[in-house]
Amino acid sequence: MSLLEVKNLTIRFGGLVAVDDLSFTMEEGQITSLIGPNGAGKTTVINLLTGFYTPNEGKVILDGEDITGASTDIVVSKGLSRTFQNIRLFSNMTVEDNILIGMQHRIGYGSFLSLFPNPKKIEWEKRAKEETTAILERVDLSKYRYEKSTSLPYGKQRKLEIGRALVAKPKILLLDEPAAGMNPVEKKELSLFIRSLLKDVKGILLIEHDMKLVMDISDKIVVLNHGAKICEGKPEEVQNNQEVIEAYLGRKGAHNNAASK
Amino acid sequence: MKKYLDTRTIIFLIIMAGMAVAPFLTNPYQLRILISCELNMIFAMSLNLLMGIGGTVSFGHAAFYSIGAYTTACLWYHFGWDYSTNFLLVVLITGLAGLLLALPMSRITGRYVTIITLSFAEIVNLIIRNWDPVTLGQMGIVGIPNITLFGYRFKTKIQFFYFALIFVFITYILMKWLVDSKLGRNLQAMRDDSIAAEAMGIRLFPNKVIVFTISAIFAGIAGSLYAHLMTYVEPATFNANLSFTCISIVVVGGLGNFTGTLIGALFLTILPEYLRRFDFLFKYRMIAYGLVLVIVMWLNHSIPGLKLKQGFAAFFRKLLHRKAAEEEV
Amino acid sequence: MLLQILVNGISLGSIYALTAIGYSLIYSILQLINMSNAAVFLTSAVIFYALYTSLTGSSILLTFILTLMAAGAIGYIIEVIAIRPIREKGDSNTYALISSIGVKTILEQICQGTFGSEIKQFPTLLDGKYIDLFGARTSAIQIIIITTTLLILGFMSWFTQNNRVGRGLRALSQNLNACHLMGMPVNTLIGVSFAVGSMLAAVSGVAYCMYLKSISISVGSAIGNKAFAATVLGGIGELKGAVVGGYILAIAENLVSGYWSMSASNFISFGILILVLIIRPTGIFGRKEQKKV
Repeated sequence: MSLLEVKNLTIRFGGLVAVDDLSFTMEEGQITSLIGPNGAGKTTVINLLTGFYTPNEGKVILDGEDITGASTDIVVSKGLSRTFQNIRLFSNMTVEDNILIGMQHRIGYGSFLSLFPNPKKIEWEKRAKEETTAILERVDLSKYRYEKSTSLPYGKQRKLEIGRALVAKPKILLLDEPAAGMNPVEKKELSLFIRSLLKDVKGILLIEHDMKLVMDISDKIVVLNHGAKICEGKPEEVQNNQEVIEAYLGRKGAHNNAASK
Repeated sequence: MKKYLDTRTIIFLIIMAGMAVAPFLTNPYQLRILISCELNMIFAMSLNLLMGIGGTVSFGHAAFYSIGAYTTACLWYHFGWDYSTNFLLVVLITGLAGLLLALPMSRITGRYVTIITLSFAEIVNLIIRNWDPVTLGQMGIVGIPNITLFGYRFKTKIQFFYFALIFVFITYILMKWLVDSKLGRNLQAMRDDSIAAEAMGIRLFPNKVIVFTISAIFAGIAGSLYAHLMTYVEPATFNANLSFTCISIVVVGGLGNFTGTLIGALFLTILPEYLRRFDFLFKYRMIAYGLVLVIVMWLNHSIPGLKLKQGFAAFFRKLLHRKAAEEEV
Repeated sequence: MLLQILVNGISLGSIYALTAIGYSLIYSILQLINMSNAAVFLTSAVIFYALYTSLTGSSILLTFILTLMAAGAIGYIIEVIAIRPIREKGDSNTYALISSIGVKTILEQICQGTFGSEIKQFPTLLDGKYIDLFGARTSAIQIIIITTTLLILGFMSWFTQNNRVGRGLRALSQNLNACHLMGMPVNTLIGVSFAVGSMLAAVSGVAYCMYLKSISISVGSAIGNKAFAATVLGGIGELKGAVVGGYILAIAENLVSGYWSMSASNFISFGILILVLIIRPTGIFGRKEQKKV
């Protein structure tokens, strides 16, 4: 059984078919990448998986459970956690609080018990703080714990966002363009970091523009164009696929590319 | 490092201590103003929960205040009930009103919140004005006695003062507990970025309902105390200006800063009373509120990265900076 | 009876519509609910009264022109002092909104301080003259109000469609930053639209007091709130919405007070408003906000 199974996923916005009959699977212990030119519908796929949009057709099956059309809070508790293309941190909250929000669905006391001190609240808060310490250690942000999240440098903000998603203890981590705006050195470091995340989660779905990064770390690549899948396979297979090259460079570009080789 | 006794808590304790000894140093008139301060503190803290933590600006918070005031006034007038029982009904009814106002929030965002809260206050006021058999309409209810608690009637305003002070203390502590809990964090997350909050699995609507309800209850409690302080209630008191006054207090104190709210309430309640001394200024005393709003908004914007937690602190920082800059030149 | 109600409704609706356009115009450009608009309504009426009784004496036209100029100036000054500093730092609209509430308080308090809280007689035009319009008694001032409003509405729609300034305003409401980058005089245009909004509120305020033949300090908030409700009803940010909303509210109010009771008519406008907000939160003409993930 696959970790994540996406079957015939389709969504239309008015007349536009943003994701068209998309099917792919993710296996445990692998990094799967979703790539495609701008506007191919990659982020829409993430929004469909995480419950922000409800698909018109198709199914999403996570670890044997059908989560098609479930609301975001259900999706998170079932084990899908995401980051955003343009970093979305809680800007007026501390680094610690950002992490605590990431694990809020696992904190086992409700709104009423929030209002006054009680054994359950104290116990859970203690556990939450401990886990926060551990996760901050993991993403290497311990010394920024009580800083405001937006005062961190850009790269650290990315890491905080990943930490926030990680602390939700997801089965699958969805990373939406984590390398955007990074320089080559940072990208190198990031790719090692992402690879290492496989110790924490069962699978990673990566959306990325940077081809070098994708080819380096992916176990499997799914290529989208105009909302539809045009190719799926190992990095080297995808790299040599004629249709993929055309999608990125255009027909003429692809021809020139072949000629120059 | 995070400290257990931060500056804000220390200032809070100082204010509480000052208030505790105040009755020994003031005349009855000044004491009455201080009681108004206490009511404004509770009222504004309830709004600050909604604005500063919940991120929803309510332009009709006076509605809850008036519901609280009228609930206790009507119960006294029609049944002659004790404040201890009235209090429970105040909590219940204002809580329900808060819940009611929160219901449309599932469908609307941003600008419409302003509109809904404004209209809600307007409708509540119209009901109070026109529901003659219960609220006595335009006339209002007069002759409300001092608080009776389990059969014991408060004899002096000093007792009333300490009673209200207990409420200020409880409100502050509760707000503090709430902010440092899962609920408080979730609310702040929604305030900062509702989409990211949703992505983290926070259900926006139930949290909105809860924060509106809690906020309404505390505003209602402040209102119920107001009815007993003034000994009368009339619809004209609870107009839009009361809501705006409350916003002024919160804004001066700083959004999400409850200690600041206490200071704001002291400042903005005492200032207009102080202006009473000057005959000419007295006529225009309420302008102070307007000026404060404009000026604080003016100063706020200039401290980057601190968009939500300014107010007094920011104001003084700005003054200091200006001083420092002048000295350098 | 019905025709009479319609005539009265349309007269009142014209007054709502004019103030409502002021709200909508600013909203369409800045996404800001300019709360000071209701206070300008009141202030203009007070200025008109003060000028008429003390300076200009009998000339209503001269007084009116001076009042309009004053209102325009007030609108422009409000923008420069209370809105621009916040806007230019790119702060959220909530701050500008709170600032505009501050302005509203200041203006209202100045009016209250200078004018006092009693009801005074207000000069009107062609008092006691009526026309019988198919059985509906239509006073001269009602006809003047309705025709003036129609002229202004016509002018406004021409102004926002064809004129250079109008084109600029429409561009602003599409994308403020882009306009700035294109070298448009954004600040001047916004200032001008505040002035225009204020002048409309002034026409509306003076017309309302002439209609009532009296002025008191409470006219501002009463009509200001109704006009605001009308704006929302029509879809805030849409000029035609403000007009339609104004007329719907005023006619509904007159229908209810005519066939039912006065006090119920106060409920009706907010009742309609709440209903619309629940069924169609964007108002009649409003466009839906897109949620961006």
